[in-house]
Amino acid sequence: MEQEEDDLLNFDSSNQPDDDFGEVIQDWAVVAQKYQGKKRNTVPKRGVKDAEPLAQESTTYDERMLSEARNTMYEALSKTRRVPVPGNGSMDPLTIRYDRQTGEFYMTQPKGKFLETLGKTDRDGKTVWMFPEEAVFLVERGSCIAKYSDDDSHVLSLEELYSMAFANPGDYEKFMCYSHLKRCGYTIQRHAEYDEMIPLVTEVMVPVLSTKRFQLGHLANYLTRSLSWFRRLILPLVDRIGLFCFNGGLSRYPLLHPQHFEFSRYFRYSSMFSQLQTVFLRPSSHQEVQANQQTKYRICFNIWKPTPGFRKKSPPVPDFQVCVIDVNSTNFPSFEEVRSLLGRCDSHTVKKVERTSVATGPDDFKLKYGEKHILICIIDQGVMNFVRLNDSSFASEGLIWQDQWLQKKKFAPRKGGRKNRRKQ
Amino acid sequence: MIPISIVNGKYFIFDIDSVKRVRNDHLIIGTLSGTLSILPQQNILLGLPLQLTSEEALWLTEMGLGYLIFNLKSSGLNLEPKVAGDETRLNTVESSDSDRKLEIYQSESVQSELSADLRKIKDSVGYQTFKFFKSFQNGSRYAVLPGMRFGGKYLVYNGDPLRYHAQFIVQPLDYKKDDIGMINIVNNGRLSTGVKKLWVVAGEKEDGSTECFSVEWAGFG
Repeated sequence: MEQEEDDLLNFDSSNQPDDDFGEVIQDWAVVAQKYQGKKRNTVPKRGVKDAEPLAQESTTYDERMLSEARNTMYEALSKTRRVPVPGNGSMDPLTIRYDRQTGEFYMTQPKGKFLETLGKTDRDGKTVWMFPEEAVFLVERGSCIAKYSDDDSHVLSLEELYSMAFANPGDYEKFMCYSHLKRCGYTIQRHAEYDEMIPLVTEVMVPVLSTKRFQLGHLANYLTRSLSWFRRLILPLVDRIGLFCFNGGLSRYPLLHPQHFEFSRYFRYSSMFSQLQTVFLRPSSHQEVQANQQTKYRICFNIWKPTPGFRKKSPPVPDFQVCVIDVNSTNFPSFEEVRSLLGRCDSHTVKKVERTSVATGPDDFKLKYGEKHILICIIDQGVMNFVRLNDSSFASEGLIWQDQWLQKKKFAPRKGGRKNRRKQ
Repeated sequence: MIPISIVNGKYFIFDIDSVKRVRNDHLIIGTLSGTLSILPQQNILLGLPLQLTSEEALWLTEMGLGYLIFNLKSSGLNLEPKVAGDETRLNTVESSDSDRKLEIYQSESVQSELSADLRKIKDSVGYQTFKFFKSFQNGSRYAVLPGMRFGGKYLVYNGDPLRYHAQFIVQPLDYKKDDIGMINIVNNGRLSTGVKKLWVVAGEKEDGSTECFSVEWAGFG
C-alpha cells in the first residue's frame, strides 16, 4: 500500500520505529488513564518492548514488568461495555431490534449521529433497517443496545449478537474489515456485490486515449491489418519505387517493411523511438472481461473519506472499494480476476496532490495511481493487511525519451565508490 | 475447562477470566478483535472478544483445556439425539453477562460433532503444520501468532508479545520433499534480519520430531 493510504488507515504509523513495521506494540496504560478520567481523547501510542526475557529462567525484573503490563491490559478489558445514555430517559431510540423469524436488524424512531451514514430508512421514515455488521458495530462501540423484537426484558450479549449476525461463511472477515475502517473514521456502505450476483457488464467502453492518440491507434491498426495484401500486391511495386527513391535520396521503405531499418537513416534517437513506438489501446477491461458469476472475489464495501453533507440515500462516487480475502481459504486473485475486479470497480480516481515540479515528462502520479484502483483486505486469522491494486497505463504516456539525456556529462572521478555502490 | 465459542467458523473467547487463564497459564495469545467502547476511534488497542486461530482452538481442545460451545439458537446444526436413549445431556448454563439462559450443549455427542469441525481444520491447515504449532506451543515457553505480518506461517515470540518482540518467522515445510529455494532464502533471510528476527524453516523428521533451521542474512562483503 502506498504511504498516504497507510497513514490514513493506520493511526500513527509515524510513531513506528523502522525496524518494527507491522508489529503492534501496545500500551494499555492509556485505557486505564482514560477510565480514571486523567486523559481525554488521546490516540494511544505504542509502548516499549524488550527484545527478549533477560535470562532463560525468569527473573524478578521480567516477571514484574510482565505482570504489570498484563494487569493493566486485563483491567482495561474487564471494564464493562459502555452503555449509551439516552437523552430523555427512554432507551427505545437507542435499541436495535432483532427479528428472530426473519433474522433482520432494525430500529424504530432512532436517534443518533450515526444515522447520517448507517442503516437504510424505511419509506415511512420511522424504521431504520440495518445490516448485521452495522448493528454489531454499533453495539460493540457502545452506541446502542440490542434486544429481540418480541422480548423487551433481555438485552442481548455480544456473544449472542455475534452468533446471530454472522451466518454466511466469510461474514466475520468482512465485519473485521468493516469495523477496522469504521474505527479509522471512514464512511462505509455495502457494495451491491456483497451478497448478490455480480451484474453483467453492459457498459460500452469509452475511449480513454486522447483524440490524437486514438487516431494514431487507428492508423497503426489499419496498417497492420492492411499488411497482408499490402505485401502481396503493393509491396513489390513500392519496393521498386522505394529503391528508386532511396537512391535518389527522396523516400524510405515504409516503417513496417522488414527492410525499413536497413535503408533508413535516423539522426536522433527520439525520431527513431517515435517511429518504433507501438500504440496500444488500453486493455478493455470494461468490455471484454465478463465477471465470472461464481467468483470468490467480490467488491464488499464502498468507502468514503469523512465528508460533510454525506447523504446515505444518494451517496457520491466512493473514494475506495475493498475486496476481502481470507488467506486460509483463498489465493491472491489471478491476473484475470484482478482485471475483472478493476473493470467492475467504479471508485474515484485518486485525486492529484499539487505537483511540485512543472517539468515535462511522464506524469508520475498518473502512472503510480492509474485510473482505477481497488483495495484488497487480506486477513490471516485476526491479522489484517491492505493492498492496493491499480491499473497504470504506461502506453498512454507516450514516448518517454529526451535527446539531451544522451549529452555527455563530465564525470568527476569517483570517490568512495564502494560506499555509493552499497547505497544502491 | 475454558469455553470456546464457535461463530461463523471462527473461535472466540468472550469472557475476561478465560482470556487471563489462557494467556497466563498457556501463553495462548489470540487476537483481540472487538471495538473498545471507551476508545472507539482507534485500531491499536482492541477489546473482547478474543479471536483464537484454528490452531490455538485445536490445541486447547486436544490438551483437554477447553471445550467448544455453540449457540444453538442461531445454528443450523441438527443436534437432536439420534438414537432414543442416547446419553445426551443438555446443560443449561447461566450466561455470564445476562440473566438469560444460554443453551449450551456439553454432551459427548455434540462435542464430537463440533470437533468434526476441528478435524476439518486439521485437514485444511494440514496436520503437519499443526504439529509444528504444537512443538512450539507445548511447554508454554513460546507464544505463536499468525505470521502474515512478516510473510511467514507463524510468528514465534520468546515470551509474551505484550512485552517482547518476536524472534522467529516460521515457515513449515516438508522435510523430504519441499525445496527451500535459493531465492526464498535470500528473500526471507534478508527480510527477517532487517527486522531483527530469524527466519526458521521447520520440518518433521521420520521419527516424528521437529527439526528447525534458522537463516540469517550475514551481509558479508
